[in-house]
Amino acid sequence: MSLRLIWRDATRLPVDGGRLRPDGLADLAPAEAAAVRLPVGNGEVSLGDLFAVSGLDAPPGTLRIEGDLRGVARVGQGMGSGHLIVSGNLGSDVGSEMTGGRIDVYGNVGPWAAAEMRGGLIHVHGHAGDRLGSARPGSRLGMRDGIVLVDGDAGACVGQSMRRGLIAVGGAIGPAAGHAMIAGSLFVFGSAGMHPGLGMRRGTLLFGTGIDPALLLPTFVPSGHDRPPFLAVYLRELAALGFKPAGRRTPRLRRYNGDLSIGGQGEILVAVE
Amino acid sequence: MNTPRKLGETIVLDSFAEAFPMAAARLVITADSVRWAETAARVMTGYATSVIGCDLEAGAIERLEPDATPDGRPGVSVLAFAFSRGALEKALVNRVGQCVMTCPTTAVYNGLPLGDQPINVGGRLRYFGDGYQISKRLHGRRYWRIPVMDGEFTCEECFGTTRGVAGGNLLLLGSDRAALLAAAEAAVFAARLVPGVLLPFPGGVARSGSKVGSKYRSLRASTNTAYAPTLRGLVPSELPEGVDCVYEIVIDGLTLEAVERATALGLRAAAQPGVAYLSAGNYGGRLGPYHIRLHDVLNRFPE
Repeated sequence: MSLRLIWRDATRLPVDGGRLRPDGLADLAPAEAAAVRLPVGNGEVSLGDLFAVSGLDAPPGTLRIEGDLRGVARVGQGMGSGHLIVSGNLGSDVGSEMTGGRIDVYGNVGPWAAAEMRGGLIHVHGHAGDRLGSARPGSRLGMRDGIVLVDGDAGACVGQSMRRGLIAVGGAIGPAAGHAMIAGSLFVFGSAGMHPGLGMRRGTLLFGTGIDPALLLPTFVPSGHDRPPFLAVYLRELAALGFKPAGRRTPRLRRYNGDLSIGGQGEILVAVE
Repeated sequence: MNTPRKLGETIVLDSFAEAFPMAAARLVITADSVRWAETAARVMTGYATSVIGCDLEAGAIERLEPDATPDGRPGVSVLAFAFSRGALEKALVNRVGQCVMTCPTTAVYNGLPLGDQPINVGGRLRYFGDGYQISKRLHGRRYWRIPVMDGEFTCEECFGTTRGVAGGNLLLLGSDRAALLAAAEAAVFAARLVPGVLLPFPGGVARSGSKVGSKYRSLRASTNTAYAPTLRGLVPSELPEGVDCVYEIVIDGLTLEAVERATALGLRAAAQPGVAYLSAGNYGGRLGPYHIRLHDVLNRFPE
């Protein structure tokens, strides 16, 4: 069973879309799904009041949502399986804490997307906001596994306290990318904001089209040039996932080690050709 | 009693090869050039002819185009067989560590589906990094990046294993050693055309075929007296009159079907003037569960 939801644009109040996920919802008949209650403002309404609900001719476990849902937060939060396809913009916390399945967003997503994500794949075909794949306030770990692809730009503090997994951003990225990163991989194929890798302990920050070294903190020390084989494995995988900005060829990279201010052993790889 | 079948002038005896299961792995070694990948593979597969005296049987070095390797560099694949997964893991950790990691520009990856019984290679070699090794995990597969003097050595953590088949074999019997060796080389060439097959002996040919056990208690195997021409008259002999030379081709494979197909190809290629008989070695069915009957494989894998 698969479902299609079309946003009626019936409210300007914030909507908690935490129940908008394929596992659980896509198995329901349209009438049953329309009766599901969603928090809106400080009350609740039926899903059918906010969306036109219909069946969908698609593989089982598919949930398709259409419309400009920038006021709807937490879509796909915690989802464990299925395929969520969104045509339009989404609010904050998209796919946060998800453990499996796939989300494709043909639009932009707000802040905190993929926060503390544990598995699965999110592909944002537009732009992403701040704190993509980050840890929530008070939490020790950000993204813990999975893959996040953003074709466009991303905001500040992407991958903060990231523990594992891969984030790839095709466009520009805001300041403090990989802040306090513990491990994992953050690949950027556009320009960068100030101080990438601030406080990183381990992990890999890649700038696949190069950046101005002046953006780096002095606590990152250059450690030569290389073309590490593992990167080709990743680039091929990204290409196979339909992430075009990466290309398949491994660039020659300059490596910086840090953040030495905290004794970190992370690496920032900057393309030099 | 053997019922003969003829391939040209060569008699194929109604015998069977007695093969047995072994744990098998496939490694993909890449490097900046195929020359260095092959160098690593050749060194890694040295002293790996028979588990009678080696820690594994390895070889079957096959070139891979960059599109067929995980990191897009030129590479080779290598097959390795051992008695158990534990023995395979131990041998590969030693061999990859000493022969591949040491070889300039190389990286090594798993070449089989991971399955549910993988062995840990990179996860044991990582300690060479002295704490500076870096783990990368993608789609459930972990890669270890170990800092070395020309950059870093990448080694996949887990390698899939399969229940391979070892001990398939052919015996070429004749009187003209030169003609017999030429036929053996032709059989080796033909058998190696089958993917997933390893002929572990030098040039694919063994001249010191063995039997199980020895009069010396410390030896697990000793010369195959029944096929040694110079012992005729001293021990029971399996050699027909006029046979003065025997060569053996041992065939391991990732599957029984691969070994059988290679056996059939080898038989046909070996049937040349100067080869009086083609046979196979067995231990009366006591050694292994796979009985590869020569007449049967000729019927099942026609030209």
